[in-house]
Amino acid sequence: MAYPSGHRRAAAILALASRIVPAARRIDWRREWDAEMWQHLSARPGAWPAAAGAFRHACAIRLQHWRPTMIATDIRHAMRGLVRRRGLTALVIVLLAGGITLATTMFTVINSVLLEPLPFPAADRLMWVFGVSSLNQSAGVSAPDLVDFRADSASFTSIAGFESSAPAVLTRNGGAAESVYTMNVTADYFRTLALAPFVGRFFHGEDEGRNDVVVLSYALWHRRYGADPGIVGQNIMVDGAAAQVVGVLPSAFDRVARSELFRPFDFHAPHAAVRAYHTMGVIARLAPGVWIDRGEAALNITAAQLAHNYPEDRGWRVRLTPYQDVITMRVAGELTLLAAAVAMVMLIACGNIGALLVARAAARQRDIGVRVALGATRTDIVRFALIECLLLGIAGGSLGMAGALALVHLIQALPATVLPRVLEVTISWRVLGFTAAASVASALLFGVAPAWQSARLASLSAGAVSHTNVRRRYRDVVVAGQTALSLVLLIAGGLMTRTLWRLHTTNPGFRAEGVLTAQLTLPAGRYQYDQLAPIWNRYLDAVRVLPGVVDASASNKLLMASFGGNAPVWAPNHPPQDQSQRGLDDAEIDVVAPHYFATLQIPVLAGRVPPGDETDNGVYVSRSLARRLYPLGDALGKPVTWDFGTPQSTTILAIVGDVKTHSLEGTDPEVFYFPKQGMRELLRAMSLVVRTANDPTGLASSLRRTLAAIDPDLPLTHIVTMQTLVSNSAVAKRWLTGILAAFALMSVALAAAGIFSSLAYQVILRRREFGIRQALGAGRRSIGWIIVRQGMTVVGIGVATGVGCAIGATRLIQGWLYGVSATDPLVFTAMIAALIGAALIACAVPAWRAMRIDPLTAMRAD
Amino acid sequence: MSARPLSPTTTAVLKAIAENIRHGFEIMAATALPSGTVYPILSRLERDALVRAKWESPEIAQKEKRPARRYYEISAAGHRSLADALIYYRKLSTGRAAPSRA
Repeated sequence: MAYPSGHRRAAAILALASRIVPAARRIDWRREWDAEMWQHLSARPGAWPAAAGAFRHACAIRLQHWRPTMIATDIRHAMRGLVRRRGLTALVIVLLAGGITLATTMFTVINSVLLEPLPFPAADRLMWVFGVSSLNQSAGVSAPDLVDFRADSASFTSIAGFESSAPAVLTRNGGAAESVYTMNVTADYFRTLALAPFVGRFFHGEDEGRNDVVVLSYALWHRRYGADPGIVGQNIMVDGAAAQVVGVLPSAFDRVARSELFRPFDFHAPHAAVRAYHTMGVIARLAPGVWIDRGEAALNITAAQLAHNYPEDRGWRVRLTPYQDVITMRVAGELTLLAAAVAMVMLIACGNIGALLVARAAARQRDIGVRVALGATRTDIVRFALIECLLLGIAGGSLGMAGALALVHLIQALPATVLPRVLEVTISWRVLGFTAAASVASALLFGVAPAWQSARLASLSAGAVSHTNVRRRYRDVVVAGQTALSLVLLIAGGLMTRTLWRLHTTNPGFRAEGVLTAQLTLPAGRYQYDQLAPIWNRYLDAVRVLPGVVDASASNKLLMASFGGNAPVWAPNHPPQDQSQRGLDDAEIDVVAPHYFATLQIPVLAGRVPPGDETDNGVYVSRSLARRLYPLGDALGKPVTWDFGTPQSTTILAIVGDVKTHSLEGTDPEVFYFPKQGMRELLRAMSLVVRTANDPTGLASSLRRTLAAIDPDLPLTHIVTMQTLVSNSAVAKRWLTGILAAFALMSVALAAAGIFSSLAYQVILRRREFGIRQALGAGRRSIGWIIVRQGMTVVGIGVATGVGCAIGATRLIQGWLYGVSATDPLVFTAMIAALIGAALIACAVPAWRAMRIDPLTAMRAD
Repeated sequence: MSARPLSPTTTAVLKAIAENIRHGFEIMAATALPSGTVYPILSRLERDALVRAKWESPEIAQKEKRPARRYYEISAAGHRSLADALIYYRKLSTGRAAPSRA
């Protein structure tokens, strides 16, 4: 029919819309709309409102024909079926819920720790500026360099520096003496983070160098000052001197930093004038429109000028890393590893769910045959199977969500040393979306096989062909895959466990058993430098005579806990060739009180460590350092030069055994020990080490009492046993190993269940065949053998694949291993043996069942 | 029929049909409702048997040189529903109707 002129488009619209209308009504609809369109085109609004009407009309008719009643019936039937087979349904839901719990928890952690931006405005523009030496080692930035960087750069809205200082001691108002982590920050530090003060103000430029103003963290303000806003403007006692509180930080800051007290950085302090001291942390906020590489290039132009102007800066450049990555980089790899493990466990679980449903669909063959005979189409059968799976998916998904909530709750209790930003780990909408997607996706994943199979069965005439072979091939592939995946997890878990064991048996160079440690800071406002050593001596003498104490000492650096300073150390006849080679000749610097080596039972290998305080001008070196300085082994009594600002020389008085200073891993660090007169300023914050005859934990209160007798305002903090420190040094690794091992065990259990159910199902299917075989004289043992052989062939293929995958995959975890190679034959053999053992047990039960088939009953059935 | 009255737009469309305004385009004009509202309502009314569809006689269409229209006419059930709805909305306007259970 012709439309009013020029409206071929209208015909196209109707042709398109008519495809929406169900075929049975299409011709009718098209005729109706030919007339309607004709009217519309003659009217003013024209074709477009008509098109809207045509499409809406077509959709409305299509919706009416979608048979919602059928879907409701399907849902009702599916529910009934699922309830009738409660055992199987429960098993499927539990497997699914377990998988979703793991996946949701993992995604929650990854989302909150790695993906969510830090709690600062425009956190993605916040960069950490590392100084990089010519040896490509990352370090901080020196204070004079920071000033130059700050003056030059137009690519940044602000650049700020900070430096953690010795813990400050708070006394008087707010309760008992307490030591808190302290940071010295430049005036624009908080502005760079784009934080607004919760109460009061932050530092101004003129505050820099002032000793009497502080900013409190939100947590400290709450804990010690009862969240009283009136504290701002008042004086508190910090390190024995009055300091005015000018402001309080918002709580968000507590989630990324552990420092609780902030003081202005002093650019006029002696060490702030030395370009060689790369001690400051530097953060920078990129200006709008500037990308990270351009910002880095801009700073490196300045760095090149500095290197040209100052010999100390030769070879140094800077590197920019997003602030968030700096905070999370030590767990990013671990989290990815665990996510991969979760994905593998989930795949194995899905394989089992799919197998269960396939077996069930096969058992329902007759039911489906009846449906087809009564006129159900293939679409109907597939839709019904999919609805069933979606119901299971919804049930498993909601249970899994509940499980994840509980698990996330547990994770929040982890220490921040294991997981940074742990306080920010919360279930978010994004995670809820992920769970919904995961349950629907896995419902579809394991729904595909049974639905497809049901459809196939329905399309074939009932009972004519046996589909056992099709099904078996599918099952075999799944079981082999499960075996391979679980072997990969087992081997990874085994390697990590071996690593932990290695660490456990590593000799740290000292005896940690029976040692109690504590921290003590002598505040600057209270004690002058020359008072520090006498106070320490008084205290240590008092501690040594306490009952149960064998010996006591103190050191600047607490083993396995704090990183102390490094400084270049060399033999005077081998001075460093080049300033740019700094870092190669660094040794750890420690200041020790008398009896230090005796208390920790570090052997003195050569020379003499005097028991008292009489040492003058000499040092002790660790064996590794002695060997580097004097490779011929004649270090004792020789001179040594160290540079902590200006080079100074002294004599080696003794050589002591190597100790692992902050981690059980790696090579023995070179250590340079000063008797305590050596560097007086380091005596302010020392760690007490006390060796006890039996249980060290009971000693804490008498240590405190002894200290209070000397000065009641001094806090003794962080009282822990040395053994705790040693085990804490590997705490993150222990968590990683524990979780991986749990995943590995789970995956083996799931894989064994997969093998078991596959074979058990085979026994049911081949019941008649086995009966006939027996009737014809086959021995029971040969029938059992058929089942075992069938199972173990598949397992063998899985193991071979798994070994191949493991060789590739364990290379990825090499960074976490210590003292064991990524292809350690012992671990590989042991894990393969364990897996084959589990598989044999899983084969044994079905084989035994096959052997007990009674030929008469078997053949009479059907 | 159902305890729930027709929606106001459905009532308007049904009332137009009852007043012998018989096809989509005219109903749009009479009710001032957009096409995207009117046509889906027509399909639902037809599904619920409140209206019947009938083809215009080809002779008339040919005489007017246009395609034959699909005419809707109200059924007995449609009359009842329409009456119910009109009473309901009238009560609503005088404030005496019970609130809808939905």
